[in-house]
Amino acid sequence: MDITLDDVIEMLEDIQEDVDYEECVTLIDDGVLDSFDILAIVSAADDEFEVTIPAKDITPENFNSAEALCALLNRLADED
Amino acid sequence: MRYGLANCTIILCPSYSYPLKAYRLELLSLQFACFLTALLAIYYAFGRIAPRVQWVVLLVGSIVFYGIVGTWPLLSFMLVTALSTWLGARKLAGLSEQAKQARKEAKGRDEKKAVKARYVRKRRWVLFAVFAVCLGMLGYLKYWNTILFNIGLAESTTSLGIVLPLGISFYMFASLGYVLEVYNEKLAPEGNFVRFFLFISWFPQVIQGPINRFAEMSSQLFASRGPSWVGMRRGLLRLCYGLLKKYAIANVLVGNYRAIIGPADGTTSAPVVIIGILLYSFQMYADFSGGIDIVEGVSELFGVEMAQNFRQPYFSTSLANFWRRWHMSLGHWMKNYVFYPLAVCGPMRELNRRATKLLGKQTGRTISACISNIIVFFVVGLWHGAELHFIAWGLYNGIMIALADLFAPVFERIGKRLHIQRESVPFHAFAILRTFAVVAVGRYFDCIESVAVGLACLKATVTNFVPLSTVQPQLEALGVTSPNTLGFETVALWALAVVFVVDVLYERGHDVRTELMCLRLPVRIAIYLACGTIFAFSLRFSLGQGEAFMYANY
Repeated sequence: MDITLDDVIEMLEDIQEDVDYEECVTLIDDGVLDSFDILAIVSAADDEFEVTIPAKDITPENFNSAEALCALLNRLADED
Repeated sequence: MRYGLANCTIILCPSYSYPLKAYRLELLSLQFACFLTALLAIYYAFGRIAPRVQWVVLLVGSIVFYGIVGTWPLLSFMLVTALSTWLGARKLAGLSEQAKQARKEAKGRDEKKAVKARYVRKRRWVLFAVFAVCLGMLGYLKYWNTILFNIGLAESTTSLGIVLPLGISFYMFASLGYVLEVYNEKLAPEGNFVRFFLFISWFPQVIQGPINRFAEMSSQLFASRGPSWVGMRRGLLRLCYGLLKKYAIANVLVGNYRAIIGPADGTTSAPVVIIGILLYSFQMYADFSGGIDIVEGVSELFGVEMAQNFRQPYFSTSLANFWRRWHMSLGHWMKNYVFYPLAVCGPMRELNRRATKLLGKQTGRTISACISNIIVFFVVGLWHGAELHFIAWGLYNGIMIALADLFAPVFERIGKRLHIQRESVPFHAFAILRTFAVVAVGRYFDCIESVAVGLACLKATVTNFVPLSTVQPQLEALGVTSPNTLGFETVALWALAVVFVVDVLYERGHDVRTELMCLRLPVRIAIYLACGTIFAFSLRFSLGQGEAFMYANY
C-alpha cells in the first residue's frame, strides 16, 4: 500500500493544527514541531499505517516537511 | 613562574564537587597569550608551506595544551577513549558491509532475515563493548569514590585521591556520539586515527565543552586555510565578551553567592535565600556561557566554529524551551541518543498503545515522552555528579516538563476560558518570568549540596517572611559585600546590563558581532572603551583568587 501525501497531512493535522503542511519545509528547523510532536507522529504512524519508525530515522531531514515524512514512511513500509 | 596579570588568572579545577586537583590554565596571562599567538602563527604559516598537513599543527598544539594544563599522564585516558571508539566504529562499519554482502548472497526471505538478525546482534555486542570501556572508565573516575563514601567505605568523596582528567565527560560524549552515528549508519568512520584524535583532543573543547559532532567538526578541522581577518575579529570579539562575563559578573558575584548559600538553612529568611538563588542564577550563567564564549572565540581564531551551547536561555517561555537553549550540545546528545531511542523502543510503544486505549489519544501518546524525559533528566543529573542533590535536580526538571506536557490541554482550556492572548507581549513577559522562577526552584537542588537543606530553604522561601528593612543587616552579617545593592556589585550590574542588551539583540534576530564591526569607528571605540572600563574595574575582585570555571572537569 502506498502512503499518500494527503494521508500524511491528515495525520499531521490531527497532531498539530494550523500549520501549512503543504508548504512548510522547516517543521523541525523552525521549531513548529517539538520532540513530543515527533513522538506523537511516530505513534500515529504505528497506529494508522502500521509503520515502525526507528530512533535512527528521527532526524530533522525526515521530519522537516510532510513530503519528507511521506517518503520515509513509504521507504520503511517497503523495507518491511 | 608567572608573568603579566598573574593575579587575574583563571585556574581550571574540578568543580565544587571535585576539589581534587587544580589545573592551571592562565587564560589572562602572558603564557596563554604566547601559546595562542605562536600556535596561530605556526598554523597559518603551515597553511602556506604545507596546506595538506596544516591540521597537524592543531593536533600538536592540542596535545601540548592538554599535557601542560591537564598533565601528561591524564592524556592516557583520552588516548584509550579515542582508540576504543575509533576501533569500535571501524568494526561496526566493517560488520555493516559484511551484513550487506551476506544478505545479497542469502536465498529466500527467511534466510535474509536470519542473516540480518545475526549481524544486528554482532553489531550490538561491539557497541556494548565500546560503551563498557568508556563508561566504565568514566564511572570509575567520576563516581566510584562517591559511591564508596555513600555506603560507608570511604572517608570522604575525595579520599581515594582519584584525579578526574580535564574535560573527560565532554570528549567522552563526543566520542560516543561518533560511534553511535556510525552504528546508525549516518556517518562513515574516519580511517586515520591521528585525524580522529584531533577531533577528540581539540584544545578549546576540552576545557568545558561544547560536545561537538564529528560530521560538523571534521570538515573544519582538516581544511587548509589562510587567516580570515573578519573571522579572526569575530573570534576575538567573542573571546573578549566571554572574558567580560567571566571576570565582571561570574568572578564578582561568586563570593556573595557563596556567603549566602553556604550557611543557608531552614532558618534563613525568605528574601536572603531568594537573593542567594538570584546571585547564583546570574553567576552561573555568566560563568558557563562566558567560558563557552571564550573557547568558541579561541576556536574561531583558527577558523573552526564549534557547536552552539547557549541561545539566550533566560528568555525562555517554558522549562522545555529553557533546556533547548541551555547547554544545547548536551541537550542534542541526550535527545538523539537517549530520549528518542528510549521513547520509541518496543516496551514504550506497547505502553503508549495501552495508555491510548485507557486515557485517550492525547494523554496516551504523551506517556512515553514523559517517562523518557524523566529518565533523560535523571541521566543529566547523574552526569553532573553522583551526589543525591544532582539527581534530585535532574528529576525535578524531568518531572516538571512531563507534567507541563501532560496538562498542556488543561492549561489551553483554562487560557481560552480566561481569554488569555498567548501571543500577546504581556503574556510573553509573564511566561519568561514564570520560567525563570521554575528554573530558579531547581537551582535550590543544584547549588545546595544537601537535598534536605535544599528543601528546608525552599520552605523558608515561602514561609520565613521578614520586614524588608532587616534584609540589609542580614546580608551584612553574612559578610556580603555591597548589601545596598543586595550583593550585586555595581560593576557586575553594568556588565549584566551589557549582557542583557546583547541577549535582547540576539533574541530579535540581530547578528550582534557583524553589526558591531560595521559601526562607525568612533562608536565602536566608545563601546569597546565602555566594556573595557567595566572589565578593568572588575579585576580587583579577581585579585588573589584564580576562580575555576564551574563546568571545567565535568
